[in-house]
Amino acid sequence: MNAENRENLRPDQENVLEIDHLTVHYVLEDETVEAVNDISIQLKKGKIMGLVGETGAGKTSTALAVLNLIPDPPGVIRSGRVLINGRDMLKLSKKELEEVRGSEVSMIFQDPMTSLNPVFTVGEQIAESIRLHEKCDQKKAMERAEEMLSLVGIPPERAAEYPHQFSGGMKQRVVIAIALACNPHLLLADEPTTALDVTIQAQVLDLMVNLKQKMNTSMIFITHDLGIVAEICDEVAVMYAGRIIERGTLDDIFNHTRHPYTEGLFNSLPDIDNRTAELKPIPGLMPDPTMLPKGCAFAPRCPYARPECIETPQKEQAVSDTHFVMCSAYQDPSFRIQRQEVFYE
Amino acid sequence: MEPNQKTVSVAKKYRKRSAFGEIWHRLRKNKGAMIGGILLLILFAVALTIDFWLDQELVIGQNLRARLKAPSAAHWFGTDEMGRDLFWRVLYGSRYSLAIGFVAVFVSFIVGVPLGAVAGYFGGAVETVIMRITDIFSAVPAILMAVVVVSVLGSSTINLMIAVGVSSIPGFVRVTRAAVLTVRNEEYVEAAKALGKSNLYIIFVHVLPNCLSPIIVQTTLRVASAIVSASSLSFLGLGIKPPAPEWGALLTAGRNYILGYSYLTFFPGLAIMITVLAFNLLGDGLRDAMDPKLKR
Amino acid sequence: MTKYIFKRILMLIPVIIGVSLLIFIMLDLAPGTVLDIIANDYSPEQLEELRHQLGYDRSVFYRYGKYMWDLVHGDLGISYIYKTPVWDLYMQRLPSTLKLAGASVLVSILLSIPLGILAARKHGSITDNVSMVAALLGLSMPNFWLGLMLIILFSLNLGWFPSSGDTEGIKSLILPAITIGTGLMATLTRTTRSSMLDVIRSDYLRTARAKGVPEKAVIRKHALKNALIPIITVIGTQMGRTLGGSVVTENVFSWPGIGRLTIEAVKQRDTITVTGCIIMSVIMISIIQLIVDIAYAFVDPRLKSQYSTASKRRKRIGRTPEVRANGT
Repeated sequence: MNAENRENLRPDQENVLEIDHLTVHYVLEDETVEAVNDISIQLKKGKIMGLVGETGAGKTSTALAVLNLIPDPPGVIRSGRVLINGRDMLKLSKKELEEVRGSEVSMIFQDPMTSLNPVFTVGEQIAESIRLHEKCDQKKAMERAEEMLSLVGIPPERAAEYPHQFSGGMKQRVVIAIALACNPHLLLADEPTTALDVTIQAQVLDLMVNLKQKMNTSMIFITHDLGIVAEICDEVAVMYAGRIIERGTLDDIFNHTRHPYTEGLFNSLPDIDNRTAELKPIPGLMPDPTMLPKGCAFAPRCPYARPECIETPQKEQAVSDTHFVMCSAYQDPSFRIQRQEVFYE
Repeated sequence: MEPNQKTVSVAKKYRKRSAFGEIWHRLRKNKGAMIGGILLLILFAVALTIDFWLDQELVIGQNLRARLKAPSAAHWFGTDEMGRDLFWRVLYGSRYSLAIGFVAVFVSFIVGVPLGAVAGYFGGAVETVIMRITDIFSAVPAILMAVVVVSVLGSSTINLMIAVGVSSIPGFVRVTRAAVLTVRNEEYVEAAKALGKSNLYIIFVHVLPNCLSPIIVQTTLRVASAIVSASSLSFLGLGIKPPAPEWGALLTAGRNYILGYSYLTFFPGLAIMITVLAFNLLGDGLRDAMDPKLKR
Repeated sequence: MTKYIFKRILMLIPVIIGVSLLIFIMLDLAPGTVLDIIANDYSPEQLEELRHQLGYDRSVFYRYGKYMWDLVHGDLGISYIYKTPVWDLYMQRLPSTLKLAGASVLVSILLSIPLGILAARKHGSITDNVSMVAALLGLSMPNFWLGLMLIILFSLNLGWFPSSGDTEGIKSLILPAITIGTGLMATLTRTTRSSMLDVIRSDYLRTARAKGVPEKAVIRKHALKNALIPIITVIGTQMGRTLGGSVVTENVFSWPGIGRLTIEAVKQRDTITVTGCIIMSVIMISIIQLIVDIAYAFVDPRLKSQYSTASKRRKRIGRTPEVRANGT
């Protein structure tokens, strides 16, 4: 049973987000960056999915495509569907898109320093979203904005201040407040804690998880920090060179790892029990996204690579009902990676 | 093996060019800059060689029987009130405009860049004094400054060059100072200071070479504005006087015949515009090529 | 705020002292004096008397000192040529210059900002390229030529507008305003475009779009307000420059403005009038700069908090006026 069949058999009404065969390219003057290549994701109501991968794996492009916000030019969505509550974001009119963005789906951007408009007060920036989507007057919207601020732990009277008067962590809280202002069904969080100090990271994470529970929001959490994934996610998708090479529940990915790249990610984590152990980074670099190999993109770095891995395009295979891996080596039933059953926690 | 080949091709694609090669590569892709550059090359070639292949008689010889003829196959730009062929006169005029443009900018460059560098590098009282004096000079509108300088020196080609040059000194001081400010606290400058190098050495060896691009761009664009200023002065009757085929002077002379013989003002002005446009195109292109961050 | 304005006035004083000294010395170096120009109106005895009266029998510094003494008492002196107070001369000419400067800057703002925004939004498109080529053409056209071409077309051939003077109201204003406005428009369009381009791909615009802000509001509200600082700077510079009088354009159209007054005064060695006009335009420019600075604070809250250190701030904003002169 492969992924496509499963979808056809059970069109899942509970899915807040469904991405089908999404492909996003950036067409530059003399080259094309193949950022996202034929990926599919489903996310159920109230769940958090961690989208994991190195810098440049296509995580942010995926999130932007969900909002249909790929900068064009140079970005082109080559194919695919992005269904939010059953509506295809890629087919909506401009006006419909503007209605959906910010109310049904919203996004927390990576860099809080540049994500806020420097010439408007934070209150105005939160209120703008509320005013647009809930058709209320400015005064009401400002009141709601102040509520949102106190919800994210900022004294409401600071609504009248400008972004430059806030610290980085506070700005990220404001960005979160903007994203959550209209109770979206789906929240895309693009490395919301990467730019922050470790102590602030924990606070912001707690805040997000709490808010998510309060509002029953589904979330795509983009990160390259497996620790955070273990802490908050229900499901995990691992991206490599624009493809999802392994996806499943937290347990599937962390305890029943299948893909050699995922294994490499875990191996390169420092071992908390054995601090003197040498780190084992994955050798080599991710391939240039302007000239992806025709076979498995990970093959040049893969310790298990076989000749056919380099030659043949990879297909997604089901390991279980929830667990999928994109590695042709598993066509050989005896194939195993070294790390198999590891139990976290 | 295949990955190996890939590495080779990647290496080829990202082969390192020298800084200059990189600028040239970007400049070459800029159509406007190339058009401007080619136009300027042609103009230079004409201006430098015209004495060798053009009979002076065509430029200054009068022919009263052929006066005020409209543009035709025989006289592309028509003839003036003395029957001189305007095309040859305009072509010959390129010598004046280019020479004035370059010498004037050379004057302001020689004075402005060191002043700006010193102001930016040392800061403090030195900077305050230089910048205040610059403020005073730029308080007088450039064209008026040039007029005053010409009044002092008398109108001749050399004086026109000096006048226009003086009036664009403040621009060079400002641009150089701003550029120097951005590199003055760089680590390599600190390092040179720590090594005990003299300030003069640091300015010329470490600081100025690293702020060349805005200065080069400024220079190119200034040549354009110097050409306009010089011909404006001629137009106001303060620069080169009419029988000489300088473009501003040609235009002034033509102005007397504006009723009915408008081509006499049209072509000299067109020549100025095309030259200035060429410098502007090249200047813009250089700016984009030297600072890809600013690329529009 | 009052303190700030006061500081600006204080900063003006050394510039005025310096500029007047500069003009006095330079015009003294120039051959001939105003007395040679007006010699025919007087008998030799009278002329000798006048020479003594005006201080031409003593050094230029004496005359400068005398002028400054009067200036401190609020007196710009009396023009030797026109035999009228310079203040009155200036005020006679000011309305024409104001009209011309106002009209050309206003037209340039109204046309350039929308065009610049459009070019930036359609970056790389035909619209963008065409408007940028047009702007560069506008920048490269010498004012005297453009003015003459307009006269040839619209006054001599079509007879729509007068070719000289400021006697027919709006009709007289149109051609000179286009002449000056073309250069201004070119500069302002380019500035608007490049400033918008800086902003248009910024993260905060993406945030705004992600919130569902309609595209029009993204550009007009979120982007434009951030792009305004360089635009305001250029408008201020242009306003200041045109208020000083546009020597060339006024000459082409025989426009009775300050530019022509100044240039005639230079030719006639009328030092007092030249200095007076330049001092007035320095003051004008300074007033406009003050307005611009206040506008900055309204546009960008980051600048408001730094108000007390205003001079430092201006350095940081980095005034980068376009260097091209159209030979105003």
